[in-house]
Formats: sequence, structure tokens, C-alpha cells
Amino acid sequence: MLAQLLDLSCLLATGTTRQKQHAWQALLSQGCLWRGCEEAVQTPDSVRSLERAYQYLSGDWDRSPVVEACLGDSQCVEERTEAACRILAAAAVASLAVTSRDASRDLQHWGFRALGDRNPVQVTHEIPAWQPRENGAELVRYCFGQLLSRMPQRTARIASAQSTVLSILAGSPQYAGSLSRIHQVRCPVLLARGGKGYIVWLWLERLAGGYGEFFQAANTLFDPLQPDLKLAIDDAWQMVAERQGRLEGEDVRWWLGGVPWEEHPQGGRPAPLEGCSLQGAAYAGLLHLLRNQTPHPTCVVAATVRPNRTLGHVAGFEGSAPKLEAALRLANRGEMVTVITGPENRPAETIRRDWEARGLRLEIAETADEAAELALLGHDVRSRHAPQPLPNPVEPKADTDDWKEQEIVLLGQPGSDTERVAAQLASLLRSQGCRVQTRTPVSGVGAILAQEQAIHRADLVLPLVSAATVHSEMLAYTVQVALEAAQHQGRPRVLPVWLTEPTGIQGVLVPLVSDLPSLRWSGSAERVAGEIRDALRNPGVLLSSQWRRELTPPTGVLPLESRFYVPRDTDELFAAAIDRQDSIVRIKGARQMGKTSLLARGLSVARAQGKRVLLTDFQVFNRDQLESVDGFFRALARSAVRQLNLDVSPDEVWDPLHGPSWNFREFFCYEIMERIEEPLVWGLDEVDRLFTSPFGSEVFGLFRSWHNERALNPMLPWSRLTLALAYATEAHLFITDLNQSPFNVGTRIALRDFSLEQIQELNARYGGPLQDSREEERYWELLGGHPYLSHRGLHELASQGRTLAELERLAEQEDSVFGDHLGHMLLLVLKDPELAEVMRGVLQGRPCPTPESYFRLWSAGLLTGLSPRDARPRCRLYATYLERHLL
Amino acid sequence: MSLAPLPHPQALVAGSSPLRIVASSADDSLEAELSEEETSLVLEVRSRDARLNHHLVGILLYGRGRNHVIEGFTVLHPDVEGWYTGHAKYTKEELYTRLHGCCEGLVVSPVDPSLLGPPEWEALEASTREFPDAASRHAWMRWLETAESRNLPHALPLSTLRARLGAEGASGQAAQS
Repeated sequence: MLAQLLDLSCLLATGTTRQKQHAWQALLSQGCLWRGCEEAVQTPDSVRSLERAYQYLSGDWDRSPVVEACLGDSQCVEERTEAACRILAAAAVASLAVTSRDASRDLQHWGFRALGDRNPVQVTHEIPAWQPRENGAELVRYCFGQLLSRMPQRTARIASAQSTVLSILAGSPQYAGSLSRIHQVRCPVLLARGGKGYIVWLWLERLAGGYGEFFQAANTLFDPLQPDLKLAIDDAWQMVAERQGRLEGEDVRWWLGGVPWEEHPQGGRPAPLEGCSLQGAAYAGLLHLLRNQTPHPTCVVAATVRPNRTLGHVAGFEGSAPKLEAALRLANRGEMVTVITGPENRPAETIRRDWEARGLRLEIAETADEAAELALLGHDVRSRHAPQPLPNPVEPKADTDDWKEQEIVLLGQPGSDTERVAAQLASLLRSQGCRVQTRTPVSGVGAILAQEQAIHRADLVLPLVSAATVHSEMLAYTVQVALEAAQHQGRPRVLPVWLTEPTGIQGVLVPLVSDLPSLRWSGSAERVAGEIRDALRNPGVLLSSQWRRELTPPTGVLPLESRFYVPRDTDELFAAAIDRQDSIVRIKGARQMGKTSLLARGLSVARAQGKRVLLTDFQVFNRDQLESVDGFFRALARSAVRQLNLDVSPDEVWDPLHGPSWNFREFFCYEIMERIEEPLVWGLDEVDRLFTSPFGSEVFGLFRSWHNERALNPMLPWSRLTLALAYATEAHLFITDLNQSPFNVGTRIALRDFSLEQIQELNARYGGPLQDSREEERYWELLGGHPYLSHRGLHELASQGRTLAELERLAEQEDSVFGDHLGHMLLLVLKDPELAEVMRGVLQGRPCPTPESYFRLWSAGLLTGLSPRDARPRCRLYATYLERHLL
Repeated sequence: MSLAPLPHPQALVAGSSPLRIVASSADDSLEAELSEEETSLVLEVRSRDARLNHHLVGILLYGRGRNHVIEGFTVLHPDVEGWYTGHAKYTKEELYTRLHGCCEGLVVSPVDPSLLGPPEWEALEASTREFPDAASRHAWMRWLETAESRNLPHALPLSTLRARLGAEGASGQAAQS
């Protein structure tokens, strides 16, 4: 990509008319410039290539062909060329910061260029020498801090350049944490174009280590935005900053996602969107951002904002009202959409009632501040009292009884220990004035829907987790509903209460709750009720519970923000596949190799790019859902609709005259893909579960047909869909017809055990409990780089202060940190006598007798080796433990 | 040159890498590049040699096994950055059908009109049927004037070409007005 960036820059500067137009489109509109810059950070000696590209772009080349392609807008071409040069320079700064830390003069030179100074030949201020810093991001901040101290009048440019460099750094997996995000808000904006309404998303982000500035994210500078859109956002920022005060030590950056693209042979044409209604939305969004609030996802503000902060008129509400039509797409499972606008857009009563009947409520606000308050309320907007000033979370909170207004739902299982605990807790909390419901799994469509509504209304959901409830599929489903609601509407918070020891416990509920902040039942209802009250009083306790998670032994999936996640080259491959919008990405790796963690990070990358994201974990599908193909497809469709906030029910459109496959294809194509404008990335985890299902081939055949249709029928939306399949078992054992299989097309990503270098990095992240490189090597040999065991062992060393020698001595014992895992693996082998026999053979140095037995043991995570002939135990710990029990 | 599969006219562009075939003339004075646009394929012939300005260039596109061939012509004219370029445009269907699904060779060469005989007339006429822009038409007119001023041994259908170019120009101007 870096080579391509250089080639394209050369063509842009020296090519023919056609070459220039193609190069312009590829570099700026198709993102080659940005991707090339991201790659430069990881490429040795990339600064030389960046210098040449910079010379090409900043030179005096003939712009006329690209001006023609941009409809004669020469100013736009100049601005974009200048922005491209700044980005190239920022990439050079990033590259220098991570590769050659003693290049003070070069850093300063490129730093100036990143600010927009094309020929900073006069380097007048030497950056003082710095001490070796922990990472490149710190050095970048130091460098721009030095520039700022000398040029305080250029704060805005310096802040923007610093953010660009850090964004480029964050594009490579090892520096993913370079940008420290404090809070992010995504607010819908209604725009109109040619009589058609659109929802685009305004993203706002607070970044730590900044200078109180506001700017557009650099990787979106080439998006086709009209100047009036940018002005509206800038105006909103000025007003909010005046009202709220600028942020000390932070910057705010923004970008628009889901902007409709204007088709044009040469590309890059700005979409002529009317953007004035963006101002009100931006004002509200910025206010929420600065106050750490999350706007309600079904609320949208559409108004201009006057200098005195009263709301003004916007177009798009008259006639066919394209903006209101667009707003209907925000509907979430039947919940009303609220459009907040100014008095000048007040509709006639009959029109208001018509829209209300269609699920859209028009609320009139006098001022932008009032609109911001209403945008927090969602469907509760009707029950609002007289507008109150918004609380500022930065200020200390007065100890009021407001927390008692929150709704608590306790989830238990009838006839189990959880029923008694739920009753005790409910009684105690009610006696203190809290609003509490106790709920247990229900059956019947009506009862399930009522339950789901209650979960959506709740502020805090407390699943009671015990040996009896971990296997309850309905309880797991209810928790899933709560988690999805939390993801989309910002609540309820889910706070599991463990009645049993979490370590080693299995069950469908466990993967859903094991990674959440949690409470422990100690036998004292008063104590747990007190902790619940604390959680209600101070939501931040839950939000900032990173420390709790980090003290909890690793259970499998590492949270996104975990500092213990070691990025591998597979992270980069996956991100690139998402970026390219590949049709199918196959993530293959044995058990506990990190597939789900990788999947989660890929989906996070997709979200950050403004793509929509779906996640299906087949492990949480219950038996009923996997019993029939029709039930399965309906469950998939319902889950998709719920996650994407679409107002359509598969049951309403399912055609009984056609088969389930046909119905699901039609539903996914026309009711899901056609309703969303952004690309969709669908992560499918634990796909293995479908291999043995009687209809697995049918499901996989359908996925494959979507891949084929991409090429055969361009009118369908499959080119916007990426399927990411995570699995361990060898697919070809189950799917014999290669033409029906999605497992031999698309991008393949194979996860491997940690290398010695990765173990060294992991050791550093745990604070270095392995004393030296010899210990790291010994540790690596013991566990073979097994990701899960490596994490567990290092956690044990770090948290218990054990030595490696102690760990090695105790490793195979039943009560050691690896004991439960080893016991589980042994059980896995002993359950199948045939497999146990093969494993005995491998332990005695014999090859696997059949490919099938090899693949089964490999996917279970017991073997390593590239073929049945090379098969050997995955690590020394497995070998010695299994030898002791099997031979 | 290796065999390059041509895009199926019904296929989605995003389904595979866009087609790009490059070639040079025997004396390296010309570069040629066949690339894919949304619904068509465009061949650009370019040179930095000023002597080739308003010069006729012959184009041969070969199909599988070199059994199928498309012959065409273009005239170079000044472009940006010191380049002289000429273009030929094909629909995907035309290229796919006439070359039987793949392109095995691309040959470009400056052509002296005195070497053209009746077998090339049809291709020459066909090449003047469509112009991407006014500069191309103007280049053909300039070439025609030069050709007419020479005493060529074979009779070229220059009057037919002039009539066509004149008509194209008139209709183009009418459309613009």
C-alpha cells in the first residue's frame, strides 16, 4: 500500500489527464493515501518514500484534470492537496516516532510540515533532547507540545496535526491505544437532498492529551462534505464552548458517517446535502459529549441555532417531509422516534397526529439547551417535567434520593437458590424506597415480549448467577436482551451477582456475564443491597471498573480496552479485510486461541469506520433454536433486527409458501441490507456449532450464494456485507460440496499460538513477573505459547507473587492455576474412547491414524503440527499431564 | 504478455480486481494502458515524444490464442505535463464477445498512412465514430489535413472520414448549443 501510495502520487504529479484523475480518486476518495500512511508506520525506512510522495504532491503539478473532475472547484482541489500533504507529513512524524527516536531535527522538520508549512527550511528551534519514552505516542505528544510552546498562536493546527499523527499510529495494532478516547457520542442528523431524506451520523470524540481544540478527523477530510455542513458544526462548537467552557488538556474531533455518495465516473464529487439542520444536532451532541452523557438513540434534533441559542427553522419538514420520513428509520422495536425542532417548524395539529400514528413524535423546543435535554429522554420525553438545568458530572454530585427513581430488575430461576436471594434483595431494596421487580424466565410470545419491554425500561438488571442458573437458556436470552439494549440505548446496566465461584463454571449464561463488572453474594443480603445502592448512586463505579476486571483471572475473551491483549499480525489482516469490505473472512484457530477476542477487535474497527455491526454467537443459541431450520433462521433474523434497531418483524414478512432459506435471504436482503445505508460487518462466533446441525449445509450454502451473488448481481446489496466466521473445527469434514461452502472463499485468517516475542511482550504487560529472557523462554516452552494458559499463568505469577519455579512445580496439580483447564481437556479426550486411543498414540510418538482424528484433536486445542504425521501435544504441560493420566 | 481475463459484462466490478493491461511500442516511444471504467474499457495511448503529436497510432488487441483480434486507430494530441495522448473506448460486451473472454496481447505502434490499405479502412472509419472529447476530434482533423496534403500511393477514404468528422463536429456543436 505504501508503494501504491508512492506510485499514485507520482501519477498525480506527472501523469496524463486520465492518470491524474484516477490517482486523485484512488488516493483521496478511495483511501489509498490514509492506508498507505498507516502502513508506513510499520515499514522500515518509510520516511524516504513519504518524502518522495510529499515532493510529488506539494509540487507545482498541473491541477486542471482534477479540477475538472471536481466540477471546476479549484479551491476544493487546493484544500485537499494541502490536507493530503499534511497527512503525509503526519505519517512521517509517526514513523520517525516509532522507528528512530533520536531524529530530533527530522521530527521537527516533519512536524512543521504536518502543520502545513511546506518548506520549513529554517529550523530555528531545536526540540530539546528527550528521555527515551515508553512508546511512540508519548514522543509525538512531546514533540507537538514543544512546537506549541514556541508557537502558541497555532494551537488549532498543532492539535489537529497531533491528532492526525496519533490516528495514524493507532491504525497499527501495536499502537492501537495511542489515541486516548475519553467519551464518544454518536448522534443522528437529518439531511435532505433532491427531495429525499437521509440519516447521517455525527460522531464526536473527546481525546486526552489535547489543547482544547475542535477539528475534523483527518481520515475523513476527503469526504464529500459541503462547506455549509462544516460551518454548521464549527458554529455549534463555538456556542457550546462559550456556554460550557473549553476543555483543559483535551481535544474534540468530529466526523460524519454514512454520508450518501454521489455517483460520478471520476468520483470525489461533494454530495449537495442541505446541512443547516446539523447545527442543532451538533449543539446537542457536543453538550452531551462535554457532560459525559449519551443521547437517546431514537431522538434527533433538527434545527438551526441562532446566536442567542434559540432554535430556528429548517427545511425538509414540508410537503412529503423527507427529513421526517428519514427519521422513521430510527425506530427501535416499536419505540417512538422523537424529532426535536424549533417553534418555526411546529406542525399543524392534524399533521402532528398523523406522524404520531406512524411512530414519530414532534417535540418543540425553544432553545438548543432544551433540545439537548429532550434528546436524552427518548420515549420518556412525554413525562418530562419543566426543563431543569443539566447536571454537570464534572462537579461533585449532591447526595440526593434521585437514584431511587431508577428501575431495578432482579433475574432469577424459580425453584433455585436464586429465587430466595432475589426475594431477600427485593424486600430490602424496596424497604429503602427503590423500585424493584423480580423476574424469572417466562414462556409464550406475549409474556416474552412483555419481559423484554420491562428489560428495556430498566436502569439496572441484576442476573443472579448460580450453579442452577448458568444452564438456563431463557435466562441467558433475557440477559442477552439486556446487553443488546444497553449497547443501543445506553441502558440498562447489567450487573451480575455471583452466588457461586465463577472460576471454572460452564454454562450458556457464563460467556455473557463473565466479563462484566459483578458483585459476589456473601450470604449477607444487607451487604449486597448496599453495593447495589452504591452502583445506583454512582454509575461511574460500574463504568470505571477496569481494575476489577483486571484483577479477575482471565476467562477467555479479553475486553476491548484490556492492556493484556497482545495484537498479532492477524489483527492487521482482519482490519484490512474489513476495510476492503471482503465478502467473507474466515477466522480459524483451535480452542482458546483468541478467536473471539480477535473478532471483537475487528468489529470494533468496523464500528470506528462507521460501519454497522452484527454479532451472532452460536454458543448462546438454545436447543429449540437449533432444532429446525425455520426456527433457526427466524432467531437469526430477530437477533439482527434487534441489534440494528430496525422496525420490522421477521414473523410479519415470512412467507409460508417458501422455504426458510428463501425467506431468510429475502429478509436479510430487503428488510435489513436495504434499510441500512452503511456497510454491515456480521461477526459469527462459534460457527462450529452449526457443522453438526442437520441444516448446517443449508446455512453455509446460503452464505456462499451471497458471496457468489456479489459478482453476478451488482444490483443487490451484498457488496456492502462482510461475514466474519470464527471457528475451530475443520469445515471440510462436514461440508463436502465445495461449491456450497463459504470456507474455501474469502480471506483466511489463521490464529497461531504466541511466539516467544509475544510472550515477552505479554510478560511486560503483566509487569514482568518473569525475571529475564531465560525465564521467558522456559515459560514459553512449558505452555507452547498457548494464549489462554499464558495469560492465566502470568496472572498467577503477577497477582500471587509466585516464582516460575513454583509455577512449574505445581502446574500439573489439580488445584493449580491450570488444574481446572487440564481436567477439562482430559475429560474431553476420555469422553471419546477412540480419540483417547489416538491421543495415547501421539503421546508415544506415533502419527494420527486419520486426518479426521487429527483435525478433531487439533480443533479441540490438544495438538499442534501441520499434518497428522507431524502431530504432537500442543505444549509440554499437556504432554506431561496427559501422559500421567492416559498412559 | 500473459492471458488477461476480460470482465464479464454482467459481473460486478467489485467482485474482482479491475482490469489493467499495459504495453509499450517496439521502440518504447509509446505506452498503452487498457483500464476498466464502470461500463466500458478505455485504452489510453501516450507518449512524451513531441514528434508524435497528431500522429496516427495503430492498436491491436488479441484474444485467446491470438485467433481473434480487434484493430483500431487513434491520433495523439497534447495533454498535460508534456504528454501526448489518444484514446479508444470499448464497451465491455464488445471486447468480451470479440476477444472471446480474454486478452492475450496488446500492440501499439505509430502508423504511416501510406502503409494503410483497403483492409484497414473499415477499422479506420470505425475509430472516428466516437470521441471522448473535442480535443480528440480536433486531433483527427489535423491528421486528416496532413494526410490529404500528401500524395499517398493508395487511395484512403479521406473524403468519407472528413464527412464523418465534419458531421460529428456539427452534431457535437449542436448538442453543446
